[in-house]
Amino acid sequence: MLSLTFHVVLALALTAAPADQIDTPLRTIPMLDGPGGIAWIDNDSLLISENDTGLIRVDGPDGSRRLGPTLQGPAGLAVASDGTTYITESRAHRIAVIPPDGSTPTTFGEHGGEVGQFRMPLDIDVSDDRMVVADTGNDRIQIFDRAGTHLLTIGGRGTEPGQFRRPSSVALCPDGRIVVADTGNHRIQIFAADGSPRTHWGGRGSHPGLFAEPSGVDVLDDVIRVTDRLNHRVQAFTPDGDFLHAWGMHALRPREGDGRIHYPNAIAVAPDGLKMAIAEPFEERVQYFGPHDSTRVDERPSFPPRQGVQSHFGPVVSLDERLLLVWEPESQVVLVFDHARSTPIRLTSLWSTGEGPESFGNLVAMKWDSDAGRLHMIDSATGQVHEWDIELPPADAPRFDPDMGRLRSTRALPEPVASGRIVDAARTPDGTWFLLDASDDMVHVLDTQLLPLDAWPVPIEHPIAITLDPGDESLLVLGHDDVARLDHTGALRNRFQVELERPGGITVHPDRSILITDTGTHAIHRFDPEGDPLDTWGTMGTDHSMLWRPAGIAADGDGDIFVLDHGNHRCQVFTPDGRWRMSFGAGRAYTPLTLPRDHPLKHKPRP
Amino acid sequence: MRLTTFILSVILLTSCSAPPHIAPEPAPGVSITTSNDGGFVVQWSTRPAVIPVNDFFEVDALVLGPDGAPLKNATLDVDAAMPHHRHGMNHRSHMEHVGDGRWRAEDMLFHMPGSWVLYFDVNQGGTVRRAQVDVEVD
Repeated sequence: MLSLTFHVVLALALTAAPADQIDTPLRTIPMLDGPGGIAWIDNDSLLISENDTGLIRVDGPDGSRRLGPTLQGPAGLAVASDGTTYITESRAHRIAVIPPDGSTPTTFGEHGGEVGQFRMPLDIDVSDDRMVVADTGNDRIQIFDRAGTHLLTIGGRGTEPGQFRRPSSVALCPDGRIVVADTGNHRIQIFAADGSPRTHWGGRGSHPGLFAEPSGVDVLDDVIRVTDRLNHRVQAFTPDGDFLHAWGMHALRPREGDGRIHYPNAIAVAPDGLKMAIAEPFEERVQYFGPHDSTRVDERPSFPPRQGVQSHFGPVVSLDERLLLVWEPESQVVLVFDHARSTPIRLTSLWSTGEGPESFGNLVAMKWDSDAGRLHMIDSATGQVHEWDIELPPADAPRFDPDMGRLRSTRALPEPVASGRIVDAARTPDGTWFLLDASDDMVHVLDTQLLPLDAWPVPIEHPIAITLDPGDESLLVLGHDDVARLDHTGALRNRFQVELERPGGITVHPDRSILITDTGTHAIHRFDPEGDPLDTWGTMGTDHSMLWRPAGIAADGDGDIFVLDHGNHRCQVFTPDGRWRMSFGAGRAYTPLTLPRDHPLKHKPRP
Repeated sequence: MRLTTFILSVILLTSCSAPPHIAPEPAPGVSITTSNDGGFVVQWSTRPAVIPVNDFFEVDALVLGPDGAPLKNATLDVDAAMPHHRHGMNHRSHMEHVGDGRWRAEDMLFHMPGSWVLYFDVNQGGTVRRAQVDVEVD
C-alpha cells in the first residue's frame, strides 16, 4: 500500500505565494490560558475562548480584556450577524448562548448521546437561520435552528464518507454547505445543507492535500483554510478540495512565533479577508497574520540548530528496568530504547504502513509486558488495542534492528469503550485493563481478552490520567484539581487536592511518592502517598534540566525519573531528588560529561 | 538496471505448523508462513516466481486455520514494506478472494531492490493478525 510515513515536515516553502495566502505575521497575543477557539466579531475584534480559565477574551482596538461569566471548558465559538455569541462548553457538554447585550447566557443541551445531547462539543458555526455543532465525543455533527431546535444529525463513528472520528471543527458556507474537519480520519468532509455527503479529501500524511489531525476549518470567499495540527501548518483548498496553497513552520523554541506555528488548533479569517487569526494552545497564544508580503524575508534558520536532541517525542511513555518506549505522534512511530546503560540505545522502531485497521492512529497508553515480551498499545483514534511482540537482543549486546518488533494482533475495544474518549490506561501484571474515559468520566475494566468486567464512574470531573500504584495495587486518577485513589472496585480510598495549572501525567515512584507533571508551569511536583506536597522542580526553557510542557512521567527501579519533555520533544532523566541526569532523543544523548566546560550543570554527576 | 532480477533468498522466519493430514499439500514453489501469533498459516507464492523490480507481480495465498482447514469468515490483506528504509510500496494493491480460503493480488509492486517484508494481515471479526516473511529482491 501507499506508504506516506514521513518525519514531521519542518518547512513547506512555495516558490510563488498565491494572492489569497495570508501568512505575514502581524501580532501575537501571548500568555493565554488554553485558547481553544476564536471568532471574529467584526474586521477588528476577535473573541477568544480560554479553556483553562473558562473565560472569554475580546481583543480589539480597545485592547485585550476578559469577559465573564465563567464557562465550563469553553472551546469553539461563533458570532451571529445579530451579535449573539454561541460557545461550546466542552466540559459541561452543552452550548452557551450570550445575547448581544452581553447579559446572562442561556444554555441548551446536556451530556449524552441522544438527539440534542452532546459529548465534549468542540466547535460551532452559525448562519442567519442555523447553527452547526461539532459533537466531537459522539463522532457526529448536529444542526439546529437558532432557537436550539434540532434539525439534523450527520454521521456516527466510522471511516466511510459521512462518518467521523472525532470531528473537531465545523464551518458553514454561505450556500448552506457544511465543512467538517474529520480530525481522527485526517480528512475534510463537505456536506450539502440537507446533510448528504458531497465530497471529501485528505488522508494521513504530510504532502500537500494530506493531513495529520486537521483541527480547525474556516471558509471565506470559496477558500477553505485548515489548520493541520501535527504538520504545524495551514492549508487552503477550493470547495471541491483542489489544493491552493500551504504554509507553516514548526516552532523551534518555546514561544517562538512571528510566523512559526506549533500545534495550531483553530483558525478564523476576518470578514474582509485581510487578517487571519490562529490559536495555538500549546504555545498559549493567538497569532495574527496579514496578506502575503513578497518582500518579507525570514532569516531565521529553517531547521533546528545542531545542538540538542532532535526527535519528536509525544506525551506517552512506558518504562521498565530495561526498556523505555515512546510514541511519536507526528511520525506515528513507537521508539524502543534500552536505557540500562549509561546512555540509552535505540533498539528498534514500530510503525505501520498504509491505512489498514492495524495502522497506528493516536496512542494514548503503552504498556510493556517484559515477561511476555509484548507491547500493548491503546489507540484512541481507532478504538483498538495493538499488540506487538519484540524480540530483544541480549542485554549485554544491544543493537539496532528494524525488524525486532512484529505485529501480533490488533483488536477492537468493545463498545461503548471504543467510542469513548480514552485518554489513558493502567494495566495490572495479570493483564486487567483500566481505561480512563474522559467524555463520560468513567473507568472501564476489561480482562485480558478485552471483555468488559466492570465500569464505574470516577469521583473526578474530566479526568486526565490514571496510573497503578504497585505498592498496594490501588489506582490513582488525576484530574484538573485533584487526585483520587481507588481500589479495583472503584471505591474511593482517599482524595487530595493538587493546586496545579494544567496537570499532564502521573506516576508512583518506588519510594511511594506521587509524581505529577504540570504542563502549565513546566514543572514536576511530588506528593507523599497521602497527598501532602513534598517538592517541585523545573522551569520553562530548552536547556538541559529545563522543561517545556512536560507530559508523560515514569520512574525505574533505581528511582530515576524519566520525563517526556513534550515541548522540547525529548526525554529527560532526573535523579530521585530531582537533579538532572540526562537528556536524550532518537539519536543523541547528553549527560553532564558531554556538556561544555562552562555549563552550570557540568560536573554534577549522578549521586 | 537489469531487466530480469532474482529473489536471492526467501527466509521463513517461523516454522510450518499446518497438520499434514488436513491441510492441502503445498505445490512446488509455494512457501508456508505461520502467523506471528501462531494462529494461522499462509501458503503463498508469487507469479512470476522471481519477483521483478519495479514491475507488477501476483501473490496467491491460501489461509489455513489451526485445524488445517481454510479460515472461515476472514478477509486477507497483503502489504509490504522496507523496514530499513521505513517505507512501504508506492502502489496500493488489492487482494481478492478467489474461493475456499484462496486469495490473489495481481498488482503488487516492489519499486526498488533490497530487503522487503511481505505482510499477510487476516481480519476476523475486527481482529487483525499478521503473518510476515522477509524477501530479498535484487
